[in-house]
Amino acid sequence: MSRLLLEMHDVHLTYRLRKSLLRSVYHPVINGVSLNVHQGQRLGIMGHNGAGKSTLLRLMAGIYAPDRGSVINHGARVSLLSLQAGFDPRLNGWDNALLSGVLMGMSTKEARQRLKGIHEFCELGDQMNDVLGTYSSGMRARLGFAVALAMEADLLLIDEVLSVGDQDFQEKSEKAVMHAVNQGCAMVLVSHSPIKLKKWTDSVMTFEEGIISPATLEMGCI
Amino acid sequence: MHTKMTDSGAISRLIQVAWLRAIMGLKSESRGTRLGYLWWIVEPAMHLAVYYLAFGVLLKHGGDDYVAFLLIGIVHWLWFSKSIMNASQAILVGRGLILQLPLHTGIFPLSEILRDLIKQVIVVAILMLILSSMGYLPTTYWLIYPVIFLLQILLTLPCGGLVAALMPFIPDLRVIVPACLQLAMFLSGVFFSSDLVPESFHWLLNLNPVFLLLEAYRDILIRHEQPDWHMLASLLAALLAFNILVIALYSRCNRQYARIIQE
Repeated sequence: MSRLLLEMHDVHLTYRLRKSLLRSVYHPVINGVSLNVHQGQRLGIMGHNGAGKSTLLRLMAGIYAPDRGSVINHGARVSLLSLQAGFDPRLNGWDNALLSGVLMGMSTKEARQRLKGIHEFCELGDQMNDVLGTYSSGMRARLGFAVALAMEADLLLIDEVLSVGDQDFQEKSEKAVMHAVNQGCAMVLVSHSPIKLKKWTDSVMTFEEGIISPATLEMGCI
Repeated sequence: MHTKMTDSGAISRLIQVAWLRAIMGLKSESRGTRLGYLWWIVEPAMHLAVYYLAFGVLLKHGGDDYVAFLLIGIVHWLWFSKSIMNASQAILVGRGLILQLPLHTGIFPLSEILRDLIKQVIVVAILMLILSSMGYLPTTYWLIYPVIFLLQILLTLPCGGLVAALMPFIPDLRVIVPACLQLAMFLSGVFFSSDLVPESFHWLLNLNPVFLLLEAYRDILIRHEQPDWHMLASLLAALLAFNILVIALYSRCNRQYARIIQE
């Protein structure tokens, strides 16, 4: 069996909504999820809007701590593919790539070394020297994707994206993700679209009412 | 335990990220205005000019040393109050990033404090030029300056960190903090020296760390005497304890912030 990257064991999470000073309403989102992610695995999680998919990814990425249960990371570099994290419209492409890369988890030195690769991948040419405020949304997305890809993560967590820029760039970015997965990077993709999940992943689980629905357990993901 | 990272690794990453955010923040800030980096000099110069006109020229208040006394007070008070104000909002402003990436919450107030620290270095250089041109020429006492400066950093860090940490729980602080800072300005001897205060209240002034620091700056820069080292030593001990307390608070609450901000 390939290396175990991430382990979730009976994870629970409840949001608390404050109604007034003393009264709160509790809204359980994750009700006992257990799953393992191994190296090279491509796991799809299907759920409708508001099912708690993004919350689940945030738990995996270590942004949230669970209320109960445990999320154990076995030394994997987990990257929640958060495009354009920390982008500043008043800085140029180079500075934004550097800043975003460091926020995502690179050291300043690593980020500097990877700037050239990022520049090549995003195909922005001389416009890298312009401030981000002048970019079109497609150009921003390309830069964001190039930085996220340069992370060289062990586990990529993807929330509905992979539709970046125009047709050509989309194909290129899909290829790049596939290449990373073939190199041994694991991937968890959450989506409400079964077609997308079928195309991208090798096992799909349905996620409803805070639990991974039992019908999909036999697919060998646990 | 989520990621396997040694403590020293985590701390050096925290500082690295905060530093880069500070530098990039300064760069971005300067591009947002026409004068750009010049504002770093113009803004404090404007403040100094206003206070100089009001107190030094119009009111003709105080003795010969009063203008220099006032300028030193203003420069260091403004640094303290600005750092606290900027740091206090840092976690709320960083909301988007905290929900996107597993970042240590301490990065947000720290990068604001670093940003104000970098600007302050320039302001201090200007202050020293002004003092020299007023006839307060540099002496060996000026060599003590970095020690007092460092003490002020040790005061700003936990104060700013604490206010930033509390802000998401008590949003009302947004109103309370500026009011408290205003009050603190009048209690910290920015405008008056301890001679104006009855002897029986001096112990109260000495409990105020900002007052102690401002007096120490004045001792070395214009009065050409040693600062009150006993006082500063006890201040250092208290500040170290305060810093440790706030760091402990952050390492305890760090990962709860994403939830608190979301809820």
